Amino acid sequence: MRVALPSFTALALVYLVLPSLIIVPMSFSNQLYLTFPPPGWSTQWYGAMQTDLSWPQAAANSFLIGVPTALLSVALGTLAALAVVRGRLRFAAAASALLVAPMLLPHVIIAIGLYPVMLDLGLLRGYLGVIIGHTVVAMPLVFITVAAALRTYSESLELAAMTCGAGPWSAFRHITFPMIRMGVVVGGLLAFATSFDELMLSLFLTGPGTRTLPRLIWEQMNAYLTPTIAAVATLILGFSLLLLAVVAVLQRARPVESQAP
Amino acid sequence: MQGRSTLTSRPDGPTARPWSATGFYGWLLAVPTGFLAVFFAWPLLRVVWRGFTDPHPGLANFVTVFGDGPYLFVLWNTIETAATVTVLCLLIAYPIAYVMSKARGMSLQVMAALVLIPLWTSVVIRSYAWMVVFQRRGILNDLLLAAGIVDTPVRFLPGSFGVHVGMVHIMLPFMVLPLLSSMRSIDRTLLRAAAVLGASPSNAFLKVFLPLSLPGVNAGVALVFMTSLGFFVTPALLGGPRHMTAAVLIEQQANTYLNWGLASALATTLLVITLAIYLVYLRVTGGAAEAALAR
Repeated sequence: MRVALPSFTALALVYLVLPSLIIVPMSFSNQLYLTFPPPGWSTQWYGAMQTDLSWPQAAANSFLIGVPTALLSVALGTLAALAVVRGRLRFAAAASALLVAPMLLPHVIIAIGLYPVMLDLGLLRGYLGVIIGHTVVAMPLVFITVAAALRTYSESLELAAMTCGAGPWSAFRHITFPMIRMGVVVGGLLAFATSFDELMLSLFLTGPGTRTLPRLIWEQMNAYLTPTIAAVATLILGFSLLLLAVVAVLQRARPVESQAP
Repeated sequence: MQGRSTLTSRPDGPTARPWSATGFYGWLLAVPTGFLAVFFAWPLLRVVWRGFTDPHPGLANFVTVFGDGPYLFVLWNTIETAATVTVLCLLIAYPIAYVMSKARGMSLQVMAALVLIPLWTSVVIRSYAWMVVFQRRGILNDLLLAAGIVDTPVRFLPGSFGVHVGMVHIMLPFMVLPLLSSMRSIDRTLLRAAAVLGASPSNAFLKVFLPLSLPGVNAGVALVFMTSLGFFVTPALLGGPRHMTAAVLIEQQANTYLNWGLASALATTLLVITLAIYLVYLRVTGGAAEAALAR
């Protein structure tokens, strides 16, 4: 038992990490077909990625959609957390159940529901439509992280500020916000990461001009498995790990389990 | 934050409701709820409505879904896959979480990183990686051939084996984290007390540790099962037509065949199943959905 348990855990952790990492050597292959390990090395697929203009365009779209999604999610999610944690709501549990639900329900249902709504509003295939769609599923993450941050300290701090003559905005600006800043930043990064990886809503709501990286990878993958996708995937992997590192540094003082999505 | 303090020191208990300087913050809820009403609740209602009205008002779409045909089979396959993935995740995650709950310092940091890295890695990319592993001339077949276990490459794709491996891979962190949170809140002196009173280590585990970790098991199981029901990327890439799930079928009916009525009826059915499990989840985690997830 003393050996079995740690070895099982080690194996399981390898299973968790290894598959994502095998695409890195694949992307430096000199072969057209995905063989592992590659018989020779080259950076040709990174070149191929730049010459095919659809990749840079999709990358730009992913940022043009991800950043506004994060900002909108931060605004809405923070308001929601303030209301649920600090407000005197009789139905706080029901409100939080509603606010978290979009994250947990199958995206395909939200996608086929939003499609006609965006069509009616004239937002289909534009940036705004998919930003709104991504915000629906990303906002819960901001709500969760900010609500958790708000619960770490007592509201008597705000009460003290207001007793000393601070208005609501001033109390938020000087007392509440500094206390929850990390929660807001981490929530925003999680919201960005969600948008950056989201496929289903993008499939229904983006058009040829606004398609995101996951959608382009998806379309290319259904056609053929070339190492170009591995090159793109390697870059995205590096970028995601960078985001994770930023969040880990921001949260260093916090216990591990608080990083749950 | 720390789960216990979150749940016990909530300033707004259900009964005590004293005056509060920030009580009026409740009004702020109007903005996000309004947003969700227009872009979440209203779209869902339209899906349900469409299932009953497109192309003709009536139950025709639901008769198709529940009648003889492939649709009921796909729904059942979705539930079966989600259940299998949940059980596999629990069996693999429980030992991981157990080891992590006892670890300290550097080894805990490393294990936490290994659990969190996949969580941040794109689902599309991870499914792509599994395709590379499982394809006909992929890594797994190379290994099997080199070891002499098989003579000809095994056809893994498309098939349920790849779907299960890929889905468990994606859902595993979502099982580890609630389990870990629940196990870390267990008072270890209870185990020592059991030992003092003569319980063998396995007996102490079965009678003390396991029951106390059940809240984490319940939360993890509900979370993983609910999320697995809506999986799209992994079954679409690794499962193919032989292992279709509800999300793949709905996307195909709407996007490829433009059969929005049937897609909506299928989505309504999936929605009802998922909502039912969400209600169970809220119950087992004690109501505050966000507090349960933030642990």
